[in-house]
Amino acid sequence: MMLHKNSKFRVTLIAATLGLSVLATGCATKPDPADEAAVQAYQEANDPLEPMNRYFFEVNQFLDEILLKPFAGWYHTALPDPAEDGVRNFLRNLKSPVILANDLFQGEWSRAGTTVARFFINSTIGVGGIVDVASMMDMNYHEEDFGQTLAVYGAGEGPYLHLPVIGPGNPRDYSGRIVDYALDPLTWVGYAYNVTEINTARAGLEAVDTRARNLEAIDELKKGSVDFYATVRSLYRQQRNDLIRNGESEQQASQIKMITDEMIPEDGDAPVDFKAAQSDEQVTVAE
Amino acid sequence: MLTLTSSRRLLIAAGLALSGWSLAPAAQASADPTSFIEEVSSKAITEMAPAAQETDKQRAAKLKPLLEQYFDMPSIARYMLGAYWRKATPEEQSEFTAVLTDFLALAYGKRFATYTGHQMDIGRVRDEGDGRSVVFSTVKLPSGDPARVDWTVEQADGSYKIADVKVEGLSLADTHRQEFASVISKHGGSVSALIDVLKQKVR
Repeated sequence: MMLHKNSKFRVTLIAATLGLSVLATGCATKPDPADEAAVQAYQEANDPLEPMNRYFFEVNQFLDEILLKPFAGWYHTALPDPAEDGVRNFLRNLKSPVILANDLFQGEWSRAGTTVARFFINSTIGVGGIVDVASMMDMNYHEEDFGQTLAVYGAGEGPYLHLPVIGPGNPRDYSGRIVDYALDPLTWVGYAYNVTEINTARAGLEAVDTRARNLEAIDELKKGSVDFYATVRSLYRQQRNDLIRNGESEQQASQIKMITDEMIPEDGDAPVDFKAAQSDEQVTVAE
Repeated sequence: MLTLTSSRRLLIAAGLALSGWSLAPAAQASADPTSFIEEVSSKAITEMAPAAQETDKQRAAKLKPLLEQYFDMPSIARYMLGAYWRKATPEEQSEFTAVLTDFLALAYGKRFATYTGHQMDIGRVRDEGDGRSVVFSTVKLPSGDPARVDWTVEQADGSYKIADVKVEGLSLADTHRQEFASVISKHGGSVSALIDVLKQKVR
């Protein structure tokens, strides 16, 4: 995020090399198969490389403390809120081609239409994307990326991976990012005109913008957590799943689990598939 | 570096996991899940909104009775411990439930107080069967997109209780479940170790 997307590949390579060296000692200890609770926790975490991931997480926390957080704090103080919103709108508008491609890959025709309309309205009336005029016309921004497309096609996420600089992810989402990078016209503009700096600047600004919006939130999360690494891992997954479902929890079968006696496995039982216990959807309208 | 990509959601999750309640008082005995959430919301405003300037401890002291009154703490505690619940002794179970209430009151007090008082629109209610329903709402924040807040409400003995809150798809119960499982397995599967860690945190 912080780096030029091109250097992300280099970073990924370094990470992979580093990772391999840590791997030798980096695998999580498998739980005792007889300990049913431990086995279930291990499977739910889906984090076989946890020691390595934790190490990189600490590295990232350190980089955040010395670099990104101070800079984002300064940015947040220096810029009035409307200017900050302008930056975000501009960055979001730049993502339109990638979002559109993935809307189409997923057969989300109506959302694809929204993306096109937003791009033209905001790029023109919205002064190059700085003002989000479209959302005032009830065409709200949505995210879409190739990692989500892969999930919609049925690809599993794979084991959790926390990489240096890049942060939390999994094989599916990292593959998606590479595809999105190739799908992005700005990538090719950068190469064609030998101004790859624009991509560096954009990635840097995205990191600062996002961090600046979450200064207090992340502090509070950290403060209120007894294992921040596990909290981030869980939030990452939940957020991705919400994005994959396009946030349409109302239309989906409920993800909320029933907490009943049958849900807690008896000794030796396989972990319970909570979704299996969901009731059929019955919708009643309030009021 | 940055922990989550579009962590706007994270912000909202952190800020709103238990908050963002603002509706006109409708404080009769709740006849349905919607009016129950309205009741909780108006109560939260009265109790928490003035606490924005107070210390964490003071806010936790105000939030704790709300959690005890409106949240089904025993079943939340049970879900958060997952399969470890069965491994725990009855004493550990009740000790965990007690310290969990303190922990959540402390962890969410500030976010609660800061975000209380924004307009909340209640949408549909979905009946999940077995006395459970989900109340869907959106909270309008001073800046940015409105946040989706989904309340899992359950009915027992004629009264309603909250079993989970999801903000932008991020569930309070799931988030802490993973975290607690991680602490327990770090301590060789000991639930009492988790209880100690939580006690340390709220002290």
